[in-house]
Amino acid sequence: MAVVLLMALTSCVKTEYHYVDDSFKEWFVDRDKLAFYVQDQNGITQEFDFSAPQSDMVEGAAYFMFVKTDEDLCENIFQDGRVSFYEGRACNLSVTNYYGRNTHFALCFYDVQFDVNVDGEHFTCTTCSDERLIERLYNCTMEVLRSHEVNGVVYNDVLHFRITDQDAITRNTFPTELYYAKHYGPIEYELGGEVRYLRR
Amino acid sequence: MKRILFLLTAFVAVIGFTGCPNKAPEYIDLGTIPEEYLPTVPYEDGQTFYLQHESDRVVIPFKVMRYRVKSQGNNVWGFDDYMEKYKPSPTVYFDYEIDITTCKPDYPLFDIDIRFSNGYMADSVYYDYPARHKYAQLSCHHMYASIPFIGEPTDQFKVHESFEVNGHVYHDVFEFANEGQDMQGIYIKTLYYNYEKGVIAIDMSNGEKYLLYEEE
Repeated sequence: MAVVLLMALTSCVKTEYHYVDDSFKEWFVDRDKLAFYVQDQNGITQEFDFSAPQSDMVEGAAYFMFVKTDEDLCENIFQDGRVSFYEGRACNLSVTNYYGRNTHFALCFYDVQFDVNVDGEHFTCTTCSDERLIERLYNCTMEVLRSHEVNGVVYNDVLHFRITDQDAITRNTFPTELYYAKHYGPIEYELGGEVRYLRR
Repeated sequence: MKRILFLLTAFVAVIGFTGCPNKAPEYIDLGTIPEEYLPTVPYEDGQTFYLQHESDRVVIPFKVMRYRVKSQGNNVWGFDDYMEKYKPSPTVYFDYEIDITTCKPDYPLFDIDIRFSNGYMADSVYYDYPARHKYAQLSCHHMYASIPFIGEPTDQFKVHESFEVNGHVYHDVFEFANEGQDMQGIYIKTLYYNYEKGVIAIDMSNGEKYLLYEEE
């Protein structure tokens, strides 16, 4: 009887696929714009170099009496960017559709991760995963701009993040402000509350 | 008969293996780094030096940390005397010192790191860069350069008798070209260094320069 029940349960494991909505894919840096320069107010130039976006499926499952009854495969799309004078990833965007219920948008920029749970409209700023840093929560703001101009170029659909904790600045690679545009990535940002970079 | 032969072989093998006791490791203390090597790197712990970006809009302070650590390895690449006497062996360990100088900018820029030792730098990034001669190893933003210890031959290096930077004339300046393969993005093309001041100038691949800044 038990064998029959087990067979019945395992034979009907249902797999559901949850893909990231196409509208979110626009936040990744386009393949023809992966490398670009930024310059600070003192004339120092750095180069950003992004990888092409990649995706994988995050597995989730539901169990009944230790028997898997449902399986969910949730798409996660991610992209890394490196910049000249910073060890490791300076920028990482990861978008995941969790079980079709919530899309999680996580943008890690230098030391700070900006997290947006899109459907719950929940927004937090924490420390990026880095063993050199002590994890904490920051006071921050986010606004969505229809457009923003940098060096004479107008970028549409821009996320504007600001960290409002002055005591959070412990390193000169701490981002205090970031403008991040659809299709382009970072277009303007400030590190350590002092050095401002503009995309060229 | 076969069984007896097998047992005999097994017995001999067991005796053979257990009969060779492991040789106890030997530890050789190479002592401290000889004093005469130390001025190869002119920076002192706690010192600040300045590099000016060619735009003249910013002077970047670099804070120096210099310290020595004890280390241990079973190979001494750089020191032929020891190599002759003690061939690399898994049972011979050397205790030695590493002198480490780290220059951190108060600006989002690259660090400058210089280190040398009186032994094998087993725990350094220079693992694949064995110094057959007596060098200090400089690393800066994916550039690596070997600075010969003071008093060692310099004929294989490009040395400028005099070199002018920001109105100051520096003497006996080494010119180190970046010999990295397939360098991409913005990288250091050339670095200039002397025993008196350390880093004198840095030329980047995009034409930007960082120059030693000294007040009059």
